[in-house]
Amino acid sequence: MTWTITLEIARHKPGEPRRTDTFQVSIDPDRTVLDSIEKVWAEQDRSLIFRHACHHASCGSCAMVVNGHEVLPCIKPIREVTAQGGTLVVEPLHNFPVIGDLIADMRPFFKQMQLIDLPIVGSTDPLPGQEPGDYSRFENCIECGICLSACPVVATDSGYLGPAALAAAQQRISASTNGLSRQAWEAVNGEHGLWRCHATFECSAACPSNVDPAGKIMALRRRMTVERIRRLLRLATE
Amino acid sequence: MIGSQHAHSAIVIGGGSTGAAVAHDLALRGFSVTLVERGEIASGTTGRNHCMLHSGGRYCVKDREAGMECIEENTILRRIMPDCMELNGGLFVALNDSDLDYLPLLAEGCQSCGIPYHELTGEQAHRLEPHLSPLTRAAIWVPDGVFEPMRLCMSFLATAKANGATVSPYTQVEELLLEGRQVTGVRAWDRSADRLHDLHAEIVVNASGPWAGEIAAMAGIDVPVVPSPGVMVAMAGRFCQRVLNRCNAASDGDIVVPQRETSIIGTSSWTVDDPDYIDIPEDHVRLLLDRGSEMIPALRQASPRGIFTVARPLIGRKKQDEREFSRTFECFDHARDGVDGFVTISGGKTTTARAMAEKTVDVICRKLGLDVPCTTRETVLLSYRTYYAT
Repeated sequence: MTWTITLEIARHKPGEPRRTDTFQVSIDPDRTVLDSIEKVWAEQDRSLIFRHACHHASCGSCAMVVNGHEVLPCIKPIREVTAQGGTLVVEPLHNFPVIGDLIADMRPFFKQMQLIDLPIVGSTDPLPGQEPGDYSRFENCIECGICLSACPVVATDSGYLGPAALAAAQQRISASTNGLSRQAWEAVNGEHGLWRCHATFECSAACPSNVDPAGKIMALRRRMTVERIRRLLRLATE
Repeated sequence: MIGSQHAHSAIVIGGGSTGAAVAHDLALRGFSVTLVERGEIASGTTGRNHCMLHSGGRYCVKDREAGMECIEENTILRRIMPDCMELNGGLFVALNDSDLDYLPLLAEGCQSCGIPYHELTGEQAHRLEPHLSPLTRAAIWVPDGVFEPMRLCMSFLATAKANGATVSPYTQVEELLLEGRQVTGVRAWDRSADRLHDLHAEIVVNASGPWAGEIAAMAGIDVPVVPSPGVMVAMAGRFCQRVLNRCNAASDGDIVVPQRETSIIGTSSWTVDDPDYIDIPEDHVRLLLDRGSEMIPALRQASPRGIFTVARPLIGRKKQDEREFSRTFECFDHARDGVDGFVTISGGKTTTARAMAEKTVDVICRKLGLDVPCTTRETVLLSYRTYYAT
C-alpha cells in the first residue's frame, strides 16, 4: 500500500530567517516518520539535516516534534500519526538551541548528563524462570532529550537541571552506595535542581523509554525531605 | 596522550565506526585529523547495525580469518570501552538434526580460531534462557556481547577530539581535490551552513562504507565494494539475556540480539546499487519473524518496535552470492591505481573497526615513511558523553 502525505518541515540555516518547506512523499504507511524524512532527503532535498542512527529507539538521536508531540520518529509508523493525504508538521525538539533544520544542539544536555554520570550499563534481573546470574543491560534512558522538550520548567528556566539528569541522579543514588559527586549534589539540590520541578508529569508522559522521570524526581524529593526531617529531629534531641 | 608530533595531516571521510576508529588512531599517532561525515555520526551503516559484539562464532567455520579478527577485537573492545556494553555472552542453539550436524563444525571452528566456548545440553541451555524453544537439543556458549553503535562511535570520536581531531558532521564530500594524480584534499559541502569549502591534507582516507565506491569514483578509481543491505526487526520486550544464534550455516533470521528492552531479529541479505534509501521488502520481515520465533516462540506474541535496513559494505564483485563474501576487511592504497595520497578502507564489521583503523594507519605511516606504533589496543576511550559535552 502507498499513501501520499505532506511533510511540513521546519528549516533553519544560520543567519537566515526560519521557514517551513513543504514536501509530498509517497510511502508505505507501515514505514516510519523517520523513513519519510529520510526519503525527502534522498529524493528531494539533500540540504535537509536531521539526526538519526539506530532506527529502533536505542540511540535517542532522532527525537523531534511531530504534529506538536515529542516523538522518536524511528518507531512511529506513519499510519499512527496521519491518514492518506494527511500532513505531518515536523520541528526540532523545543527548549534546545537549534544547529540547523531538525538538529537540536545536544551539548548543554550532555553536560548535565555527564555531571550526574550515571553508568549507561547497569545490572538487570534474570528473566522469569531464568537461572540467577550477573546480567547487565543498557539503562532505559536513551538520552534523547524528549523530556526536556516537553518540560514547562525547562521552557522558562534554561538553567534547570532537567528531568533526564534528575532521574539519572535518583537512579544513581538508589542503585549504589557510590553516590553523586559533590558538584552533582549541589546541582541536584540547588535552585535549578529538583525543587524547581512543577510536577506536571509532562516528561513522564512524553518519555518513549519508560523512564518516568517525574516519578523519580518525586522519589528524590521524598528521600531529601526524610533526610531533612531526620536531621531536624537529631538537632532537637541533642 | 598524543604520539610523537609531526606535521602530517589527514582527512577521514565517513563518521561510522570505521571512520571514527581511523580518526582516533590517526590522532593518537600525532596526525592533524579532520573527519567529515555528511550526516550525523553513525547515521549510515554503523548506526543501523545489529548492535552485536561478535565473538567470531558466526564466521569461524567458513571464514577463519574473520573469526580470528572478531575474537581478538572482542577482547580488546571489552578492555578499552568497558562501560558501554551488555556482556552476557551468546549461545549457538541447535533445534534439529541439521543444526546438530553443524555443532561439531562450530566447536572445531571456535577451537581453531581461539574462541572460548563450551557445549551445553538442551536442558542446560533452557535453564540459561527459559524462552528458548522446547525443541532445543544442544547449544554452544561463546563470548558474544551487545553494544550501542552510535555510542561506540562517540567514544572513539570523543577521544579523537581530546587528542586534537576536528569532527565535522553534516559535511558532504562533493569532489576529491587532485593535483595531477595526487589527492590533496576534498571539496566539502557544509550542509548546516549551506556553503562549499576546500579542505587540504596529505592523506585522504575513504571510510565511507557502502558509499566507498562513489567516493573512489571521484578519483576515477573502481573499488570492489558491494552495498548489501539486511533487514532487522526489533521486537518490543527482552526475551533473552544472551545473543542467540542458530547453530547452522549463516542464513536469514538466524540471530536474536537482546538490547535494552528489545530483541532484535536479524538479518536478511541482498544487494543494491544505491544505498541512500532502501525499501524494506515485506517478505523479509515475515521471514525474520518466522525464523526468529523458531528459536524463541514467544516472539510470535510480541510486536515490532522498529523495522530497519541498511547496506553493509562487502568486499567483492556483484553477481557473487553475497553470503559468500568474506566479512573481513581490506585496505586499498590507491597508489596501486596510480593515485597517491588516497586510501580506502572497507568491508569488516563494527566489532573489528579498531583493527581496520590500525591496518589503515599502518599503511599511511609506511607511505609517509613514519615509524609511529599503534597504541589503540591499550588506550581506554573517553566516555561517549564527552563527545557532546566538550
